[in-house]
Amino acid sequence: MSHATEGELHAHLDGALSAIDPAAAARLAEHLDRCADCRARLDEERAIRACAADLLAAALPSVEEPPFEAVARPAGRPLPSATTHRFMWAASLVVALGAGWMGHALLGGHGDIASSELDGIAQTGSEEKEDRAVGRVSAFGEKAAAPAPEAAAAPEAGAPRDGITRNEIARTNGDWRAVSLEEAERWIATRVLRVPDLEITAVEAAAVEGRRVIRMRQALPGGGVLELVQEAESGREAAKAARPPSTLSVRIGGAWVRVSAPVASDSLRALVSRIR
Amino acid sequence: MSTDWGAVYTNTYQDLHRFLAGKVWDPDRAHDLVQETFVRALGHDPSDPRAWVFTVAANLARDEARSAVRHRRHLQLLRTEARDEEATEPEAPARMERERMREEIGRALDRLSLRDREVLLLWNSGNSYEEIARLTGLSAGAIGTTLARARKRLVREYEGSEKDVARNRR
Repeated sequence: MSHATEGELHAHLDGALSAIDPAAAARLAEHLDRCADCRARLDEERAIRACAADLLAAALPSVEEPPFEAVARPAGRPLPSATTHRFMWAASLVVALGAGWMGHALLGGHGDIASSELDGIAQTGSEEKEDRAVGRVSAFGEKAAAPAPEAAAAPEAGAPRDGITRNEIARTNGDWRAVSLEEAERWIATRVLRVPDLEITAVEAAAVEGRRVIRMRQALPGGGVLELVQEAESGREAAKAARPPSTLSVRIGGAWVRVSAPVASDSLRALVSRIR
Repeated sequence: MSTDWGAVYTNTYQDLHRFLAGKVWDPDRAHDLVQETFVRALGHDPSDPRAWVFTVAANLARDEARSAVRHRRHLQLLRTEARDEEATEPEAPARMERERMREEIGRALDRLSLRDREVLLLWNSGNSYEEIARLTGLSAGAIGTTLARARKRLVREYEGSEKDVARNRR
């Protein structure tokens, strides 16, 4: 055989040549036995390979993986207590299901849309001032959240103000109680919507300004949290809800779903399409 | 049978993180992208989950590339400011030297062609020649040549920049 190519030498050093081309590996081994030049080149390439590996290892050190909590929970396992779970609010993903949201007005729709129709959902890159209010109240459940400005939750002119808003939820600090999934479904007299593959870490119920509301948290891969808020009644006129940046509004099974998350819109759509 | 994404996550997290960190050059952002990759994976049942998550991750990193360049410039500015503040700490010189090296390695990687860089990062993330070939569309026989070129260029660029640093210090 002619002298070994650099590619063959590196494939040999990587232990890959015999896997991708056993005949070439045999020829190279035989050639290296006879050719001092190629053995010297092999040593040079070995040094370059080691140096490159060292540089990459120095720049890209190994990391510990955070726990993956998004595996489906086996049926019948008890839910963990809401009070014992530490939530990563900063990375949280919020899904709110309520009587009405901005999306209702934007779509002007009545009736359901299937997940395959999600392309028609309203997507907002909101720049409205309510965004800041959402930022403040996103850690709901914590004490002493600043009272949200009334303007942020104000209804549109002429619209009855009966849709649940994040600001209203924030004002119910301390009223939430941990419940089982079954109790939650009895509380709102309907099925609790969720993403099936995600572990449920907490379910809580509360009365928000006279309306029955539940909220649920599900673990995302890598430690993020999906929050889901659902109200007993649905189908009423939308109240103007605060909109965080990058929001999807969609109607599923009679409930308006509003999703906002620190992930790309494609991922949001994927998550929304999985809510059942 | 549906994919056990928990097992895939455990088996690929470190490799995927290293791959993405090499592409976006920001460990925290790399973690975010790994998380986003697995959020997208839910409900999918690909025949080769490892290849699937690497493909999705590569696409996410490509979308990220432009903003990452801007972000990196910003971070470098911040680091320069932080360095001035940290210069009095006892361990500051060693840490600053490590950080400087890391930045030089990043710059050396940036000088590789996109294809060479991709193949090198995929190899560095534990992928076999066959897996790299499937992910990049190259033939398995071309991976060795590509890696030889990429490694050489990386080492040469890095050594060149180190010589510049030494010359400037004199």
